[in-house]
Amino acid sequence: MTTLATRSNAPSTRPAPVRRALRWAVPAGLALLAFTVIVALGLGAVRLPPAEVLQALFDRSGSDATASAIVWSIRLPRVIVAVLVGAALAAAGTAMQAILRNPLAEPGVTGVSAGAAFGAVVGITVGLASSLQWGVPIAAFIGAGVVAGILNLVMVLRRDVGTTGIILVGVALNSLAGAGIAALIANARDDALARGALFWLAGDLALRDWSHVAIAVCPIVVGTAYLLARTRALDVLSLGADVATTSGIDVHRTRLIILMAASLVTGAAVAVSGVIAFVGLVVPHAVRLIVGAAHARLLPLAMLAGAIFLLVADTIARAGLGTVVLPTGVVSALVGAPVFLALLLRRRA
Amino acid sequence: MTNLRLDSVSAIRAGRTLADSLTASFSPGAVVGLAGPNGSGKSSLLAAIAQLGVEHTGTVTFGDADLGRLHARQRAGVLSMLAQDTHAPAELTVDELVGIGAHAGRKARRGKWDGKVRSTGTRSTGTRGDEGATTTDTLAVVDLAHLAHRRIGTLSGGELQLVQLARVIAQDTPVVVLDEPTAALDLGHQHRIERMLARMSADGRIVLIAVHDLSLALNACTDLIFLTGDGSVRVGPPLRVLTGDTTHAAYGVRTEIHTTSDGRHFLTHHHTPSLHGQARRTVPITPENEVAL
Repeated sequence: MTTLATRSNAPSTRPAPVRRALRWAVPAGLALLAFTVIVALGLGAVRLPPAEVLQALFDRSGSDATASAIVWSIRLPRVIVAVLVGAALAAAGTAMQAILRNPLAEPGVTGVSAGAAFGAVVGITVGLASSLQWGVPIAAFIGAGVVAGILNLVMVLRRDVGTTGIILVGVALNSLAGAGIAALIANARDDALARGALFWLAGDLALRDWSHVAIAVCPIVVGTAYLLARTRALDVLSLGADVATTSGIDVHRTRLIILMAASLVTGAAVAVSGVIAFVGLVVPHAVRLIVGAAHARLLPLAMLAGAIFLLVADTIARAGLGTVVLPTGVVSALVGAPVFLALLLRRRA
Repeated sequence: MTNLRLDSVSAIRAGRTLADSLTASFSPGAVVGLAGPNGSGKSSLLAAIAQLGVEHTGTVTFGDADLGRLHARQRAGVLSMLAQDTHAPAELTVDELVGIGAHAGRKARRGKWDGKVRSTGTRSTGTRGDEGATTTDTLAVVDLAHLAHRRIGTLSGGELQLVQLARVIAQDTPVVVLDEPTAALDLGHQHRIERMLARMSADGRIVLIAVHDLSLALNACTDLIFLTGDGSVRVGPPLRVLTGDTTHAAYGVRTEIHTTSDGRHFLTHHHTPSLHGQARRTVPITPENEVAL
């Protein structure tokens, strides 16, 4: 048997070039995000060249009042909501896929987004949308909180619930919320309310203003910051409970806290955007195929990709299709599904 | 010398202990096999020892540390594990997976836990750079340096098993638990696992290993815990434990141990079912046929 000493003198393999390139991925992603934001702010019914957008953003007194109003009051809040929601859904999806060890896990897998949707539909059908500015998002957030609370309770009472158990609890909560939504829409007081609820369910960012930013920003920043701080735990949990336990993780507790952080982020995202299911499932997958499964890289890059992806989708929904009205969630699925299929097929080749 | 002591340990399922409680002590260098028929509770006992949340009686101590009372993070400095489930994300690279082990061990030793229980002084407690060095060294030791940048999804089952073992070795703990590491491995990979067991033993670690292959137990283990399946437990040197009567009682099969000229043992079972086994299964013993049997 060869001794340890001679073995460790073996030449170490050189880092793959891909890996070196990945060191620049986060700065490059941030730059790309900034570029996309500037372009998105310029697009719409009134086109603004990038220079004018930048002037409106950073030199309000010196810029044209109309341009400033368009950028600050109309487009910027919507762009920020798109960026926040895209990053939030991608982060939650990445975390869920790691702790549940299931490639089909997404932010909605635990029923949290269905809960938020139920809350929102309650809000819409009782007419909160017109009477109270913050009403619908708050109702959605409460719905998400109730579902997260139930899930929390189940996991605390039954410590032996494993990953499959969590998914099955989610399935049950999802169908419960789905039934509630269907019942509410069927019994809506008038067609306009029913249509409003359906439109909201498809996921749309139209008419998002600073109040939506205000609602979403805190939970999303806090939740994703927590997830970013736990990338090591996500790595270990993706190896299974036994390995995680013997690698120094209190599996039950850590899984629960990460699940709650992901739920918080998802709840906040759904509350301001409606149900945009596609981003949280597919963006983490696509990014993982390219940059690998180590969460220290995967999570921040998935968040950046999610933010850029949803911003592009929303900009297309808002400015790209002329008279055709498409909700953001529909555009994100229309753009994302073919891209994802192409990635999958490339991998098989 | 820091020993691993099992004191009246028995796993509990559905309110019942799975076997008689086990009391034993193992010293550094011990390779302890854990064998027995399917369903005799090997994995449960292993899970109880590794503190995986299985209900159990008794205590498991290493030195003066009760493993059941340690924080998971502290325990990761004492005990590492190769689980039966070796699944890992397909896009993870080999060195990242092994690095998870290196990080877990380092983090456990860096905390308040001062490593009093550590048996040898050769293990590193350094910085992040050391973690990468540990990973590189470990991969070299298990002859997998050429796989370092490969993705897990491109490995064969045998390679993945070895990479997971490398993760365990990189965690660098005095106690190592392996749950059926040779399951579904070809001869070459089995041989490499056996060599790694010998190396870990030579390093002064205590290895606990669940095995189905009794020949492996005979050749690689210094001690054997044998769960007979009817609730009793035998502990001792493998050659002493695996007597014909014990295996017959456990498996209903007559066995024999052969030894090759270079000292390797292999355990075979008779081609024809034993009369006794046959009688137990199909022919009721009555005064009339007792003589014939």
